Amino acid sequence: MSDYFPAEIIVEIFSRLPVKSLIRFRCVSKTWCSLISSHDFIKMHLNRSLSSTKNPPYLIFRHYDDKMEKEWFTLLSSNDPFPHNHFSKHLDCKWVFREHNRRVLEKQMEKKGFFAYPSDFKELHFPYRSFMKQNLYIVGSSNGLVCLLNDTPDDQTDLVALLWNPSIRKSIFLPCPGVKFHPSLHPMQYIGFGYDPITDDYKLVRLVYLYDLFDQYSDGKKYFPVPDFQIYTLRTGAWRTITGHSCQNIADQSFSVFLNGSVHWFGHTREHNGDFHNANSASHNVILSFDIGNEDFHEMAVPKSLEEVHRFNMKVAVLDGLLALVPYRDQAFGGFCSVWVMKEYGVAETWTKLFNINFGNVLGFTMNGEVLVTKSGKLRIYDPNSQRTLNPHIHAQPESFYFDTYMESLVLLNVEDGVEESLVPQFESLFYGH
Amino acid sequence: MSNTSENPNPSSSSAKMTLKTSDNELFEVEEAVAMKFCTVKQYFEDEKDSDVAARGSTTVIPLPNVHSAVLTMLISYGKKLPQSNAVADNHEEEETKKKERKKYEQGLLKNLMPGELLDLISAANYLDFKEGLEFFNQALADHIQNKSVEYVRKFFGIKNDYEPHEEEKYREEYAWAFEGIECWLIGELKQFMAKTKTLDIAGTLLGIKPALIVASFSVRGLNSLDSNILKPEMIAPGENILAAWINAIGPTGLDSNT
Repeated sequence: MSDYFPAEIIVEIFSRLPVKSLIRFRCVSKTWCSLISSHDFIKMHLNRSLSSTKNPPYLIFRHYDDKMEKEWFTLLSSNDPFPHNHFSKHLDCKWVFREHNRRVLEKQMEKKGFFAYPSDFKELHFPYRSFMKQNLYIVGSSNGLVCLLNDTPDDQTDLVALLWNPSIRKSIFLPCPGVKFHPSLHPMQYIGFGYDPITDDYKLVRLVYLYDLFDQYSDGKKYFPVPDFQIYTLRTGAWRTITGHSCQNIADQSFSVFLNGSVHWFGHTREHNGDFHNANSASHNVILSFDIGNEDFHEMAVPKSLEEVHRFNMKVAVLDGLLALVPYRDQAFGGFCSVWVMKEYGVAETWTKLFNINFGNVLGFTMNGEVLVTKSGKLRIYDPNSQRTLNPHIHAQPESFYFDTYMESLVLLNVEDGVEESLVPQFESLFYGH
Repeated sequence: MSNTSENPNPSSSSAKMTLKTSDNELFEVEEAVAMKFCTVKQYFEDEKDSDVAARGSTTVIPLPNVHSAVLTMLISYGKKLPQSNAVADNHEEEETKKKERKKYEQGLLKNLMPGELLDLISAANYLDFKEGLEFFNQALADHIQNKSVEYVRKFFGIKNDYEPHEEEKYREEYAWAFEGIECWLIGELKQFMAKTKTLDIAGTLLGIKPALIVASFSVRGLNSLDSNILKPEMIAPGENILAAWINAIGPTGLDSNT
């Protein structure tokens, strides 16, 4: 290598390159390959990406397309995921202001759908499919890594998880936690995924509640939380069980968000005399949070008007970097929801209601303030300022919608699959490849 | 209209210093700009006795690793940056200056040869010119981002130490990373090819049958040493040559040949 180009400058230049270029340039020479694959460089590249843009540049979007019978993973721009001119620039329809032609355009849009025209998104290559031919459950994503789960077949009540980095097209299977539960109690798992910057590590946390299906053990309480939980860390490549820090609160929804170093679920407090089905005045809604760094549980209060258990369904979300709570009523009960944000993290008094949406349920938020909602099973984009709704014409099963913010990174590049060779074929049959 | 009229030339109050390049050219630079080169700044901080004005006018700072052409560009880039001793501008002036700088940066990059970027970066690194390094590093990253592996090797003068089968395996495994990249243009290729080529003398070859015959219509040529000797210095085949021509015009110009 030229002697006036010290490695520090080369690495500086590398840190400014996109992931695809870096993967290609590993082929330039063995020195470059080891520079790019080194843990320090991966971290440097990640830090530069994290600090340079205030907001992540992409949204990762997953849906199962009915018409094309295909599961899609795509990257959309996080500012404008479904641009208004997406169709008119592709469909052969001049004079869009003429009524007749507008109808023709709409018919074509309806027929072909957003994902038939690839200019506004980047398709991601995902090599696995769920054993059950259902969508894989996506736990969350952090620093370019996406964590997915598969439901295991009934005879195995264990967890099969996958960490996937779409930008380098690499995935690794995680080993099973291997914890056994009482055979007549049905375990319900709640998983969270996040990043700990202090140890520079990615962790999964697993909470299990045992459901007493036949009322045999719990004195009518139905659920009891297991007094321990499991954590997986990427650096060790193994699960460990933490005992003695039982979480007394119960998560209601498996959906979790990772924000400010903690995983959050919506749940309620469990009073000792209380029973899951009968709302006890002592029991109230709460946000359950797990600090990924310190590995302990906390709770955060919800707005006073939303404390009553079972009055609404609720989910947690992230809006513009703030923790959001979305109480909603299903379509059957009128179908509306509202959006609350906690303006100052951790300070319950700062819960503020932003707006109502008189139809549908919120899926998530874009960077320019639009809301993705599902209305009667169809995806719509709602602008709370103008109160206008846009139909992006996406043909999909509503349960299959998932999206989250995403940024590219090199994480996982230097990690080898932590699972023993003998177990991989077993997993691959659960996630069978194309 | 604006505040700058009260202080038309903020740098007139500051001292100038002289920098000497590797090709012995002298550059008089305002202190505000020269101080952006931290190596230069360090040079002064090491000398604690004399005051700035005296130092600036007398001392010549040698920069043996920097060529004058490169220093010219670095100085003119340095001048466009916000000066640390300038009067604080209001928001409007700041925006105008930012726009000017962006325009200047775009113009600079347009006229720059990629190879010059390497010189600029290595000089900026030697001078510890942080803003310059930031800008030129980004420019270089943008330049190589979509280029092929071969281009990058030639550009940085890197030898490929992979075995052919290793490289092929890598390219196959990560084929997606090699798609959609820029093809190397012939013009750019020429930049990096050697400017001179040497012909090795093969020596006298004996025993070749049949011996090559010069065509009857060819000139034998006069020998440069003695015009009485009819023997060419160099000779090349002239019959049955296949040459290339463009599609638009046939080789002979006849209609039958297009």
